Amino acid sequence: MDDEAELWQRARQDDGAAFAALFDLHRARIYGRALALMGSTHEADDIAAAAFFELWRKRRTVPLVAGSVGPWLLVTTVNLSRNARRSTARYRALLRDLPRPEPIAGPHPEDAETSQRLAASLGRLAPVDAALFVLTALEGIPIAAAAQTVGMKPGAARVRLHRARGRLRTELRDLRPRAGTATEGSPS
Amino acid sequence: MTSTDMDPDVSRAVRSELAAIGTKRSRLQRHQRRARLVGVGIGVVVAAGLTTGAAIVVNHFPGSTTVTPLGGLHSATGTGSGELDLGPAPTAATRAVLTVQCLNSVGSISIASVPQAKGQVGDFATFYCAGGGRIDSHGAVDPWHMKDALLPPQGSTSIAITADPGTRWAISGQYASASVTPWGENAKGETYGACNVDGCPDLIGAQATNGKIGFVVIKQMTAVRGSGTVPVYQSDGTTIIGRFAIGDASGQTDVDPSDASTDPPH
Repeated sequence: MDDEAELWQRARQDDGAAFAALFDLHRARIYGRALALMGSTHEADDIAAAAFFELWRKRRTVPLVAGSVGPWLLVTTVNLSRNARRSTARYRALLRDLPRPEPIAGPHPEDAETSQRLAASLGRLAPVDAALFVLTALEGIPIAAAAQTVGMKPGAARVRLHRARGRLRTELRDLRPRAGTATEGSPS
Repeated sequence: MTSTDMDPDVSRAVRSELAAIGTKRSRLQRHQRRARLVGVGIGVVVAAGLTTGAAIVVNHFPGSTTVTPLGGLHSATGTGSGELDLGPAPTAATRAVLTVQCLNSVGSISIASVPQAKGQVGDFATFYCAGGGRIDSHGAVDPWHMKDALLPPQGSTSIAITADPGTRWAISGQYASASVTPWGENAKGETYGACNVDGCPDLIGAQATNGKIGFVVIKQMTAVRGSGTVPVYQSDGTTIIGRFAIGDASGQTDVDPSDASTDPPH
């Protein structure tokens, strides 16, 4: 998407309007992913906000994959959610000042359990494996693009993904009937 | 699924912070500048020190900056933006040292600081009071000590305190001078010592995990992604006397949130 590549060029030069536009473009998907991983709206707010703050902090090294910063944001969201308290500490002061609306009705209790179980299992995988799984299995990003996002060759990524899937399948075997509805999120 | 979009108020707040990038209103940028100041110019070294407890030692090395207070102490309290009048500056003064304390848990306080490197413009140091300020282990609010406040502008004797409208603060301070000793140089022609206004030497003073004091090589530090260790050398830049840990060496890796995507293996 040429438009996004152009936006990113401006954003990299500290153009606030371009960052705001990228936020508008990716907010729903990133927030949806953060919510599916964290299961709490407040924590999802923090993780999603921190992912965009990281996008600014790392602007000199963030790669565009298929012309988009979306895959990088997703990987960062997964990594931030692995240890939310520690990983968002850098932005503690900013996050503290965010509005704290009453939590809206949480996910279906079984979905919440699925979220928590999946997040816990992802947390036990190596970061790169968790990222590959989320990008391909949950976000529908082609393996080649996912591999590029995490800086691997597609062949190596396939092997890692295969192992990660096997491990998750074993750990989450009892959740399979509802796993689809809870983990897909609903990126708009 | 229930709602999968951010609450509109939260979204507005985050968006507004991002839109402020590139302007003076950007707290992200002020925050990063403050982190840089505290980090004596090499964030990675200090971050490593903080996460492992292995201290980067900045005192008593060649190149250390010594700050000497001059003249009397002045203080002021205020709510929102205000100023601290330090009176006429002694001729030797090149900066001011301040003690900054939040009196409530609202907003933040920013104060101009001296340039970190020659030829650069000064930065702002930002102190966050929101959330209770900096609280010590006994629950008391700990004041910040700022050793690099910029002198009052020409024709003025006051330092500007920029604070959010509801932020209550108490600040005391005095003029000061700063002096820097020259870096050492080893037989290989490498400089060693502490970072200062002239930048960083080739070898930076650091404490190894075995407690020994020596030097790390900046290039080796910055090459480490996530966690790992680098050698600590004697000032000759050759003799290894220990290791300096970056990240959490116990296996609880302190993963950089974007490492997996930005640092392809080489």
